[in-house]
Amino acid sequence: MREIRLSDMDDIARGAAILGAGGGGDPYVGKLLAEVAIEKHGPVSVVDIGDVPPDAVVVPVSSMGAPTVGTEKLPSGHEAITALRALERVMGRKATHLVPIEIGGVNSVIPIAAAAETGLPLVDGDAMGRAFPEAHMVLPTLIGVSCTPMVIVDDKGNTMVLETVSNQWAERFARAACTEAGCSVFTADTVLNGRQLKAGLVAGTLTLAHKLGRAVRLSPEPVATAAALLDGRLLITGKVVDVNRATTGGFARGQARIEGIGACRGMRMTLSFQNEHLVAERDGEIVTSTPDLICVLDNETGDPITTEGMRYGNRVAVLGVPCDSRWTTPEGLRLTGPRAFGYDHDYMPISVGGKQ
Amino acid sequence: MTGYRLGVALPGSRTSAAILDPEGRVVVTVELGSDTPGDVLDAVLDAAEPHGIRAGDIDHVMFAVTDLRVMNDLAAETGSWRGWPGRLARVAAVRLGAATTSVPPLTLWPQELQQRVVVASTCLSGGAMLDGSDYEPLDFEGLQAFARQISGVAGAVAITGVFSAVTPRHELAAAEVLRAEMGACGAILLSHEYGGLGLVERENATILQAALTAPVAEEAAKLLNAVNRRGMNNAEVFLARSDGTIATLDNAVTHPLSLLGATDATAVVGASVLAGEKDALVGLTNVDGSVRAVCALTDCGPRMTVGQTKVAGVPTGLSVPALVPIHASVEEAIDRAKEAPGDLPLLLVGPGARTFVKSLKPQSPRIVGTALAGTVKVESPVAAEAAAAVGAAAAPVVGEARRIVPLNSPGLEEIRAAVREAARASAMRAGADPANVSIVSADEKPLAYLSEPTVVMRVRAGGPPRDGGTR
Repeated sequence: MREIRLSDMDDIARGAAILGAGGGGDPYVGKLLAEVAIEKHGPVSVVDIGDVPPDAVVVPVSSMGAPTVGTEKLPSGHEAITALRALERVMGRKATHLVPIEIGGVNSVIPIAAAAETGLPLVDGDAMGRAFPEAHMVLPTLIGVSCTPMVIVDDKGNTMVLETVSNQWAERFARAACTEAGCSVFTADTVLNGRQLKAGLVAGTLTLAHKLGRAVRLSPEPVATAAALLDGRLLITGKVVDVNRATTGGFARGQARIEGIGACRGMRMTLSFQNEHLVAERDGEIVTSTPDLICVLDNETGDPITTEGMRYGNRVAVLGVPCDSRWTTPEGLRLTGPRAFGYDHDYMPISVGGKQ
Repeated sequence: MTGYRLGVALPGSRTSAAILDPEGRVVVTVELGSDTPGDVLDAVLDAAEPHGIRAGDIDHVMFAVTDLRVMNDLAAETGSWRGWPGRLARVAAVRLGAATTSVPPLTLWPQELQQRVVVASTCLSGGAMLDGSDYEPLDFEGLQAFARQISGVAGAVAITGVFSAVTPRHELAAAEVLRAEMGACGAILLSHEYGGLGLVERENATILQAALTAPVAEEAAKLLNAVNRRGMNNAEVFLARSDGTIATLDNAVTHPLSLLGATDATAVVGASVLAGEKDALVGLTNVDGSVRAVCALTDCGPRMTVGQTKVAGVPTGLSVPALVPIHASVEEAIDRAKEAPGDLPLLLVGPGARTFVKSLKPQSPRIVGTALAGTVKVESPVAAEAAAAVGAAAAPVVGEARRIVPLNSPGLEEIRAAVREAARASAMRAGADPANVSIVSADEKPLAYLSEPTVVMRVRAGGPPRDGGTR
């Protein structure tokens, strides 16, 4: 993809929602912002990681907080640029490129709006390869890049700058500020130079989101098409028979039970989710676990079903999709493996037994 | 004897009516190839006479009016509102939330509709935060200035505040300011009464309802006249809503969008009543015996759509019956309509119900075993032609309350009780019998990505309509 035009936005948003693995927030409002910006300023140019000069200043801009709040307390539209400009003042350098911090959900499209408005090119990649809930759960943490200076901006124009001793502390303070601001803020943080992109980003994910969204829209068999494009495994096709949501220990934790239908009749799956789908057990065995992606799709349309949207009667196909391999190193798993989310077991690679 | 209920369905070119006795049994039904409410009222009263039922014995009249003239074209996805120039109210739209202008009011509206319906719109300081505190201070002066600007120009006002589902304080205060400044200026609609999260969709729905309230009330008054002219002077009139429930005429006309799809919804409820099934699939038929769509019947009501519904090209948060149209075959539609893998009864209703069943297996017109995949039986219940009228007559009165609550709120149990009470009050406002209102459902759904667990509480309460003869 060389540039992003207005007509690409629907497909990018659809693909990004699938890559959100049940979370990341509905890209709907972010897509509107990007469409308004592209309409006004023209298409956004996209560059491959390999084409970015070594001394480039690459800035991720994103939103933080509850996506549901974002659909109610709409942004003013100035937040991302305000955050970017404030960060430039703190750094004493101008951004040369923008990039999504995560490809899953709404944060895949926020930088598109900002790129259209500033005229800066967008790097084809992101720092997660999916959606994760916390600021330090990014590949740059693994290579020692700091999330700070981090600029946090709310819709009223309140601007905060964080300098912290670790990326975990950046997450803690940013989250507190976000709550105080009404659970929806914008941030510019985790600045990379051109030399750090290969190690700090997953390459080509904007193109992947676009390709995925388009293929699912056009395919007569959207689920199979999505699985093939993502190198994913179909874990079960079934019906959601029970959704259980509890809010304990400060996290919204949920479980869904799925009973197999069609060729999967007789199988049972238990899906554990928080903000994203995190662990899938089939007939008592863990078949996929975080940081691998668990994508729950509408069995017919291939539309992603978010953790908030899980309800009795959904007919779903559950895909296990391998994450970027850097996440399955010991350091990667410490940040994003099952234990990082409070589950009492280790990461299990995607495994589907003889039945599938 | 009194206590009879009369249901009337006006789905378009045909009409049906049914009278239920005080125990809810179907006494008579009629189904006509006429689109005039008066014709079908005369026909059903004539049919009731041999049973000793006179007009004065009827306590409740329920209309399912999907095709209320003014609503007709708004129901279409693309919307052709030109049918009645001058009839929609000219609306002034107020958004309370000055820092939300990335998506200004009316952004997603077709331009022509916008020019036709909206005379002025503004974004003023106001609204709430997720915790119920003020998002921005309410801009009283701005409201007064806007009131002067629209006075004499606007026929209705739609007010939408950020997080009015958490607290409607600013919407209520803003309405007071406008009313004081403008006097009797037509309806002022507040978005929290419409409910739901998602500012843009709720705002769109509130503006559309404001445009429709006066003309829909005018149309509804004609129905009321038709009832009165036939001597049903004791009867209270209700309108059916898109979820298969009913509300008094006065209450229903202030939420005109909730009338969309009502005849489909009551057809599903009627199928449930006539066949004595709580969970099934309902096939809605055309007069020629073809099936128009299949809808799942779940716990005596229609399965509803989730997410956005476009009305006249405008995205709203409206929920309507989840009809599965026939693309390939009826069997394929059955499969897609199902919520669960198990086979279910298929109930055929509407003017072509019997013709369709006959076409499957001529020798047995009523019950057809399992002639269609995915079904345990295929049945056209007695009086299936008038199912939509039966459903309207038998439907419950339901009210709903929603609130967003952080779970660490002090007095959480009191808040839960207050939401339940609000749902009961909403049901009573809609015309439920105060002595028989109970909680129908209560759920709490957590919102993702919040450090303080916060839930959307949604409670529905309902019961039978209040005693007739109160009018």
